[in-house]
Amino acid sequence: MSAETNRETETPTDARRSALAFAAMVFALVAPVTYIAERLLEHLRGEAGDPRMVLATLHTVFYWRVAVALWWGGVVAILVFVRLAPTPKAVSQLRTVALAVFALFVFLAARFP
Amino acid sequence: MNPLALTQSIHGYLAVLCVAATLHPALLLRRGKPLSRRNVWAIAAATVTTLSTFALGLGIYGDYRASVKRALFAESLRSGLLFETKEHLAFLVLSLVIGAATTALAAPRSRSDLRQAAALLFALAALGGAITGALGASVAAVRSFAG
Repeated sequence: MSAETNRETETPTDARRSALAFAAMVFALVAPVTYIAERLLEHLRGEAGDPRMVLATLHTVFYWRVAVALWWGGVVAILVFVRLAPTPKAVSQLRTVALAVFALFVFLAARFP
Repeated sequence: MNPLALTQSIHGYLAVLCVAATLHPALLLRRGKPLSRRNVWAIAAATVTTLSTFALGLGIYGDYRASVKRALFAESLRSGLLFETKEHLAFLVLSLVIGAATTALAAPRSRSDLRQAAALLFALAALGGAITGALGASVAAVRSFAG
């Protein structure tokens, strides 16, 4: 039975679980994108953008970057959980987005360490 | 033995284990079948291994930065920059595994598409983990807590 057919007969509990699963996927992609945005901002502002400035930067930069990315990923996931229904098409699109985010993240991490 | 060097070694071994642990659920979930007890254990193992690896890395990061990183950059700029890349990729792996595990565990029995999506996230995490582990080994060969 296809996911589309099942969606029509989903119980409220199943619908909530689907929404949570979808929100978790969104979290997995928004957190790295936020991390990229933070790195971009650091480069633009010249703060800790160059890792060779190891003596001039606070050692907490990485901790804060991780914490903010996780927090924002969580906020967006909660909004998605509350507002969006996870259709099979949306899940399929998110899989494509996942591949793109992964490739972009690896490229940027290697090119602009 | 220096406790920090020991912790760094454990961190490295866990990182290697992490690659296998994340690849396992990627293979188990790829057809999107409902979760068996074995699948749940595999997902739990992948999550715990990844979180432990990242937590250990964060735990020694302050000391690493104070006593190793400067020397690493002084000895080899390329290795220093590879460490930065590794640091970024580790966060990517963490995010993917948290998302994949929650997606797989929360998805109802009828939603095979969500479990297949979780499998993709686990597979990407395994690939990212493999790159991260390789970079970590390369950097540690240049400079580590052990010297």
